Amino acid sequence: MRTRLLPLLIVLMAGVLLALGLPLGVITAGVEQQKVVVDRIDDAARFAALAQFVTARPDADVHDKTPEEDERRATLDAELARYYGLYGIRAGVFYRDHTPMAAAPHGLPVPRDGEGARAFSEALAGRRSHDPHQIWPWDDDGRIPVASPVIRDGDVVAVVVTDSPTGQMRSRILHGWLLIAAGECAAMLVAVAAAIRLTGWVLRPVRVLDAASHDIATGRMKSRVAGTAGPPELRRLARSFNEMADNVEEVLEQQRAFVADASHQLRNPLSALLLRIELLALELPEGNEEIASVRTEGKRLARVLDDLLDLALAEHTAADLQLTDVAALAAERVGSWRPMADDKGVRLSYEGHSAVTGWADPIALSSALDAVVDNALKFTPAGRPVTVEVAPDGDRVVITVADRGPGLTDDELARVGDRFWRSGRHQNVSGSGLGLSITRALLAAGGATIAYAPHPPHGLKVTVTVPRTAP
Amino acid sequence: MRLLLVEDDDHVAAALSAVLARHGLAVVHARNGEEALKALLPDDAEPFSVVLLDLGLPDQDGFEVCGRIRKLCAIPVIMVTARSDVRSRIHGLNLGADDYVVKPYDTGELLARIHAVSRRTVSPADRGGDQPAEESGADDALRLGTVTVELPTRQVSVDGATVPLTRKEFDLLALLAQRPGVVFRREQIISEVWRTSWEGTGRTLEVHIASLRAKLRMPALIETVRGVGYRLVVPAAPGRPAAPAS
Repeated sequence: MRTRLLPLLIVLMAGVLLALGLPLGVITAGVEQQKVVVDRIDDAARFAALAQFVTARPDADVHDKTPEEDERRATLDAELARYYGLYGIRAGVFYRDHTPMAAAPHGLPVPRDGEGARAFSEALAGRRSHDPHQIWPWDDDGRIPVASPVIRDGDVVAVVVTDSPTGQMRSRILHGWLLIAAGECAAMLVAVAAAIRLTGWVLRPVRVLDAASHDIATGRMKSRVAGTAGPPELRRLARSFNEMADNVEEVLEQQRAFVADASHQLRNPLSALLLRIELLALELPEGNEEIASVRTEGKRLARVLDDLLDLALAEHTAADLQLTDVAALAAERVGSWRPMADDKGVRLSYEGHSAVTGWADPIALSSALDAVVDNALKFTPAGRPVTVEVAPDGDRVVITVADRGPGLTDDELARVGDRFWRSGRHQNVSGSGLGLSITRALLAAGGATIAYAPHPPHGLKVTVTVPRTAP
Repeated sequence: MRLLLVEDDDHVAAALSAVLARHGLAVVHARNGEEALKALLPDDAEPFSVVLLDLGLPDQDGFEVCGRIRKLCAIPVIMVTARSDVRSRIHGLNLGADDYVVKPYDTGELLARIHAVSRRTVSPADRGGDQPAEESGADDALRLGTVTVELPTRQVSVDGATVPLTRKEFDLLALLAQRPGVVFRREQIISEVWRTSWEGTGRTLEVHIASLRAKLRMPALIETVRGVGYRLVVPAAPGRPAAPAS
């Protein structure tokens, strides 16, 4: 969500800044050019004032000339030359018939076309120059022509033309633009920082909700959302989430309470029953077979009760997952079962790697392995092998417990692990039929799985897989 | 040996009292925490050796009762309860319980645990029953009427005359003499004297009992409790009050 919100905000801000910056750049260029044009018009007006009294043509009759006029022409010539020398601006004064009165440099032609010609003809008509076309920094040979009429007794007698180079002006515009760009960049940085803060503020309740949901999903039922920050919709969502979590916790608590109550209510009568059986046994002659089997049945009932409670607890316990050396754990379980296997004459052995780490709850995994190995030993006759093997396989660790017992048929394979299910052929082997169900519940809590397959030619192969990385 | 049973379920209490009585233990039954604490106040009767405490009591929580018993005296407390979760066990043991047994339990195991905790806290009064004050300095000698068992020298004498016993016979007599009147279960005797589990040693025990009876020339000293085991009955000594079979 952040990756969507952030670009959206940044693109919007960039658009706004661009919309402001472009006109500002154009205005800056216009202002700079305006300054130059106003300057040139002033200069042209001054030259026009000088030229106003030089009306005699240089090649006119001598008697037409007055010594004042010659002097004025010389002054005008000198002024124009100095002007050109100082500023590099070409300037000239031309009679109506395009013959030059004075010009610097010498031989400056009357502009024949383009901007200059337009300015010249306007001046001939007695008007000041209009604003010439805007010159941009990339117009390398751009020049600004400005023309001004020389009026004597109400008539336009000549025209002053200046033709300015634009190098300096263009560099000033560029400078101005650079300043604007720098300002925009700074504003953009501020905008990005603000956008990050803003998305963080908007999304914080979402992140808090996410963390709380994850906590509850992994069994920390006490997790709640404070729900005081952020937009009202998210605050409402946080409240609903808390209500949901309360309900879930209450239901789980009721279930736990039921398990506890049921255990208490069943355990007391069962204890009384077993004690009465003991008393009865004391009355009967020693070695009475009936009382021995009654006692066995009572103990089996107690065992089933214990297993049921274990199952109920295993299904509601949060797994305490940690990085575990699965191979070491399996080897250790094999070690503790070996005396019992030796007792029965079964060859129990561990094969495979000496260190394979997986992500599991060590206590749950050992209990599960105990149940599986116990099962294998129960059904394997003396002299046959039971092997436990641990090997990494991609992103899982695979623990295989293979026995050489009678194995299971396909129908039985489909049912093994169901609650209270026991193979019809093995009703005389002790057990409640809950061991493998508890195993499955214990493993499922930690993201591990258990599968059963035949082990040809006969026997059962139980495969437990544990994830190698944290979920 | 007297026991205080704190249990609100009358059926369980009646059955357990009957079983314990068959093992020679006198049981006082308290139905709730208040009764239990009242019963524990010192009076003229023989002090209790062990308290069996249920956690689900009607008037207050068993854990609380355990804490209050601990403040009152140092008597061993075994929690006997339906709560099987590890947290309750840890909590109970932390509060000062000496042991924790989950219902339904095996009778033999419960008795073994009762003996185990009471053995750790044997009071002088328990050693050889009610003994006069002049013998309080000789703690290592158990006097049972006319029979004296000297533990350090492993000597047994009847009316002053030393009786030679084999090592197992002495161990057997010394074990039974620790708690006169209390029935020791056969498996308990086998594991303590022969240091082995129950299987197949039954005949040996009977042979040793018979030989003890013969050597001490007191057939009534060791009584057979059918189906359970044996106990020592202190014979009435002349001029001395008989130790009550507690």
